[in-house]
Amino acid sequence: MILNTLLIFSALGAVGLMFVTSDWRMRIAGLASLYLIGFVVILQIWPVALASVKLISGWMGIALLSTSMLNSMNQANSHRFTSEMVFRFLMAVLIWIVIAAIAPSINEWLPIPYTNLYIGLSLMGSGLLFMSLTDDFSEIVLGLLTILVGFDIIYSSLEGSALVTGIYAFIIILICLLNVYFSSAVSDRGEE
Amino acid sequence: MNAPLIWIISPAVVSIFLFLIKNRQIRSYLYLGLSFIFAVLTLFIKIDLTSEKGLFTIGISSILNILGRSFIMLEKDKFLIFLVYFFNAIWGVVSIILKKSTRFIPFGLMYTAFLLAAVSVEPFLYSALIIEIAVIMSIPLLVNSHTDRKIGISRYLIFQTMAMPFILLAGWFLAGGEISPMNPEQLIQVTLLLGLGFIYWLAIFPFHSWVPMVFDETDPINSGYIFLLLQFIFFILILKYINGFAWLRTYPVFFQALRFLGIIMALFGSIGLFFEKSVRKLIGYEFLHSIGILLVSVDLSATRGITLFTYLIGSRLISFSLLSWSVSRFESLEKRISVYSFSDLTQKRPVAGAGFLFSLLSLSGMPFTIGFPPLQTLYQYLAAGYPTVLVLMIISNILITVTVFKLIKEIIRKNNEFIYLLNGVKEDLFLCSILMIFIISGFFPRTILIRFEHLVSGLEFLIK
Repeated sequence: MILNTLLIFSALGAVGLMFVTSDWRMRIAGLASLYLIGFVVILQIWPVALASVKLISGWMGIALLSTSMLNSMNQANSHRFTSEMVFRFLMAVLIWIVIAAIAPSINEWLPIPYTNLYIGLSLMGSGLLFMSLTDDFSEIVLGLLTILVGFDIIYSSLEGSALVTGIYAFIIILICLLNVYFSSAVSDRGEE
Repeated sequence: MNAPLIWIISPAVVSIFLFLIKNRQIRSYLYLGLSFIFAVLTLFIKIDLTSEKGLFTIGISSILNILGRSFIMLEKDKFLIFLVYFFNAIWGVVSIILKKSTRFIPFGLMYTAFLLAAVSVEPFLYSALIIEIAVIMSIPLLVNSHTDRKIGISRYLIFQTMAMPFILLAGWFLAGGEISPMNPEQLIQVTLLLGLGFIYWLAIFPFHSWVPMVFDETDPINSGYIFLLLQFIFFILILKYINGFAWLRTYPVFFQALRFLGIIMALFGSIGLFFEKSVRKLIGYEFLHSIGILLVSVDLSATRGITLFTYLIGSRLISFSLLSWSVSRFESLEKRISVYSFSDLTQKRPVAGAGFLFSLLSLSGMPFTIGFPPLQTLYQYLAAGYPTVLVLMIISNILITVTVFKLIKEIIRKNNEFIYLLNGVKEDLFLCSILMIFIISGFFPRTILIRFEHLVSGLEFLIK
């Protein structure tokens, strides 16, 4: 019970950090924490070997993202006003409240532990909101990865397939590579 | 030896080797040759051969097992494989002759391999994951990394990724349904999940905004190649779903939704096309219009069979290809052309102009074009059961026809002198020969379209 509550609050804290901060390092740290939380949640259902695939692929993706961001112009972080930070955080809180309200009825459809469902849905909702507040490709990638972590937690609670795990890990890395592909051009232009 | 090894694994591996070749021309010729070989192999190889082999016939198995899942390509899937690789070969030829530095060479082969893997994976609900890989792979094939215009591409990635969770969840529900029968409430849940997945996949209203944007941001020859293949495979997958689940085939709400969304898309596309000024976006709107028409034909498959769909998709593949090639030829003069400069550009590229107009006329179902017979049959079927849908469908096609006539009027108004179609340029001669074949095929459409019936020979429950 304590662990579950702790997991829920850590997930919300990590995603909240991603929302509020404008420093890419903190965002990446938030996403890395989400992968760790996802790993702990999935570990309760799956064997360590299969669950660790999620963590390793996620962190590999994060390493790729960090490298690309380090080289691109994104390292010059844009300043964010306090009002904007408050607005973004409140939007995230609103999403979490809405999900807390609808999660029990979705739980009737999907017979999985409530903690997994709530964390999964909150991350999916937050990721969607995160993407909708930006047109920057690397931020969109962060939002997409948040959605995918959330869905991974839900889907892993329903089904444990080695092929799905493998392909899913491949998709995560491909999305991160896509960010590298586009940010390499930004860094080229920066050097020019 | 098995079929997935030949038509999925080999092309993917070969495309990596082709990438290592530095000379672009050699790489293009090899791409074209290999695509053609993969297409021709379908004629000589028999899958799961039980009877005696012929002199030039090779027998192979149909199954490849990976991590407890199977990739299955049956004898009846061979036309689909042939068509996909032949499509690759033809687009390769066009890109070489039009001297386009296309981005789909050489990784188009890998993209094709993933799409075929999505069609052949069993249980086929895993196709959502493989499609997602193909979608991510397609992005570098559409735009270069230096592009500043990425909004459409970002939306394309987001919406296609959003489809995956819905299809996978629907798959989980359906797997449960195979063990114990589903109650009406579960049916609604699965239909909702599948429907949302399909809506994201096919860029159906209100998730369609990325289509004109992506077409505007990318070269028509790249966008045409990627999205025609993707749309084609999506429809084949949807038909596989309908064929695979008896409850879905007999669930009237699903087909009503297809009809409703189909007519909305057809109208949306044609209205957008009518008012659009950018030629690239105009192709995007035509793409949306095509999705609408194909959705309505899938709806009719429940009562009238799937043959009409095969004719429609066949005619649309041909017409849309010519449309993309014509715009691509125009763009050798000027990037991102507008309809205002269309008549001036037609003077310099008359064959491309003719190709553009003829393909649009065909897509709107003008008589004596290859698009006419299937659309005529669609009207006939709709008139029997859904007169309102018929009227809206006709209005959508009239809007496209009027757009074409507006363009023709502009050309005539600005050019008092006779325009010579051929000016001796190799690229125009090639495009002109394709246009001639296209026009002639309009007089004998059945000889071509009848072959597309083989596409659905595996969908035994949808053939009537």
